[in-house]
Amino acid sequence: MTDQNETSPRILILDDEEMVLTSLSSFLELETDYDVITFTEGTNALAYIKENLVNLVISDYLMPDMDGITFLGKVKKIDPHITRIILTGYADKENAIKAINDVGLFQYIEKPWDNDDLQIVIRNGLEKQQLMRELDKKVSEIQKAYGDLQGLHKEILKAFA
Amino acid sequence: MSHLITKQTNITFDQLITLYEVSRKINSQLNFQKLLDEIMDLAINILQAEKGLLLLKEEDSDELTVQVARLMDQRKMDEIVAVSRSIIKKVEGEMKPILLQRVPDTTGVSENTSLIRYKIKSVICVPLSSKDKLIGTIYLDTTQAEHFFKPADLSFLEGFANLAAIAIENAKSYQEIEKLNTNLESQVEKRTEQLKDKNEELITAYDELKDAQMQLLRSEKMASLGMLVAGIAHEINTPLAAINSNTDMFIRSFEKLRIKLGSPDGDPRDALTTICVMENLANVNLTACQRLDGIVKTLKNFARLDEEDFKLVDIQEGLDSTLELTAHLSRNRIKVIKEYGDIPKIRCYANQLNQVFMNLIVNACQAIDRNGTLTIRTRASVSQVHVEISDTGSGIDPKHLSKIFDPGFTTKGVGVGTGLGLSISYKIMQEHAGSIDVESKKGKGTTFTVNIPIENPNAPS
Ligand SMILES: Nc1ncnc2c1ncn2[C@@H]1O[C@H](COP(=O)(O)OP(=O)(O)OP(=O)(O)O)[C@@H](O)[C@H]1O
Ligand SMILES: [Mg+2]
Repeated sequence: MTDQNETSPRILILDDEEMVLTSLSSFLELETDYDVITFTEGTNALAYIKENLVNLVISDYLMPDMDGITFLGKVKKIDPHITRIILTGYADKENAIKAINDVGLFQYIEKPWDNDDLQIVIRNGLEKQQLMRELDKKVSEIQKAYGDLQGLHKEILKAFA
Repeated sequence: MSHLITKQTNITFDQLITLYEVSRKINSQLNFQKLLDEIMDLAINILQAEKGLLLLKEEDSDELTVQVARLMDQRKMDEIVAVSRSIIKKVEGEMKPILLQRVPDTTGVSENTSLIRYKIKSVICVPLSSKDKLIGTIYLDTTQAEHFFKPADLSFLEGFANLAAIAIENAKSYQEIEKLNTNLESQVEKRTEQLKDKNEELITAYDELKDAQMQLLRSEKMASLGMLVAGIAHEINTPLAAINSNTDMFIRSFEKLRIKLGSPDGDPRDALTTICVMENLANVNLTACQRLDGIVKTLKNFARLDEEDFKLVDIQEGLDSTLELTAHLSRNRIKVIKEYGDIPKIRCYANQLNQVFMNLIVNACQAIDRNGTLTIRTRASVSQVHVEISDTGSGIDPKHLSKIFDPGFTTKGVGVGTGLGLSISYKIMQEHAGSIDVESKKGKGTTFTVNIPIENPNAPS
């Protein structure tokens, strides 16, 4: 994985409607400095996530080849640190909310969305993601330090034996 | 023993006439007590007796009891009856009449002494019998020696007793009939009362039913409306979301452009990027608007709001718009196959037929759990157009097949189905002189066939 801090956060959006993709990506491109990439098919999006670093994923709920919940479940398997957000329509809101716990989603955004709200949700999601990654880094650092300490401990014991 | 007459002596012509009159008299009396009174009085009068007793056998106790007592000293009634008892007992036991012409005599009746004590000079007693069974006795006596009873009197009284017995039996029957009749009357009255109650209950029930029906009608309308609204809302949502977001973007971008272009050190290339994005979004909005326009057209086509009456319509157009409005139910999971045949336009209420298609298509989509196929076939026969809506869903349990058209029958959860879809559809097809057939295999799928007459006999002229 490349170093995160120097490049802008990468956001992946999946929706079968070009209309939605264009609107969302245009907004994010003009109003934020996020790196936005869009897909209309789940399989292509998953392939991309496997090969590239993605910080946050927004997925539509109802789609032809794969529904949003399934898709986000697969994203979680690839990288549990990616913040996952679902975009729900009028009729599927309830189902989507039910699924949020199952797949461990960060948030849901209702269509039609408010651009300001969307921006806040994304920012919070990225922050959380950042914190999680940092926490992870800290944990592995501590683990490494502990390992080092144990090694040292052994050396010392050896020295006194 | 010569006074004890057991053999019937011939009666005289005069007596016969009297008997005939007696017969006429008592046979016309149907009141039981009055009849008994009359019999007693006639016997006493004709035979010139002083006292008389008429006894009848009680139905339940089989004992002779006094029904009429005449010219008795009321204070000594019990005593006097007791005196006559032994004679009556004997008549009852032997079923033979007794005549004591002159007391005292040597008849061997033990109560002779009491007869003497009461100064009774002559006694006559005959059985009343019907069908060889004793039903009672008539007892007469007198204290006047010169009016003692003679064998001819006995013959007469025996004849009289026969007539009386018949009349008594008749009156008894009549009394029974009357009793039955009053019983019946009271029963009829009771039944009438019950009927009146039931009738009132029925009226209340009918009123309640009417209310329920009204409510049902109202919810029927709501049911199809709800389905329609859900479909439209879903379809409208995406273009609406796009337009909403993009318009917000325009406002933000115009603001930025004004700042950029207004300041002397603004970079026009920056503005160009913004303008390019805005152009893009304007195009998206155009597409979104076209989409909305399409939805409105579909809706109009489906509801045919501008043509509520009977018209020549292409029902395939109706099927198409219905499929579009239900697309949110099938999208991504159900393959929709249209196999439209060459069918003529038909005269119908298009919006109502579309409602039928809508109900059937919604059911089909709901019957398919995940993935499956929905096939819409149309074809024409000699006088009808047939629309087949076929799904590869759960199928219908054979034991439910007879109920699915009943209003309120549903196997779907609360909030999913009201169970009205098929009953509304059935009613609409009846109004079109058409029909709906169903064929289903559990686990395999279901086919509903809508048959619509090309020439509708119900058509308003
Ligand atoms: N295509 C089908 N496949 C399987 N079962 C069906 C199908 N169509 C109807 N049924 C059965 O018939 C029942 C009655 O259907 P109907 O359309 O009248 O009511 P509903 O669908 O339950 O409720 P509503 O239509 O009011 O939403 C359904 O609950 C279902 O059990
Ligand atoms: Mg239904």
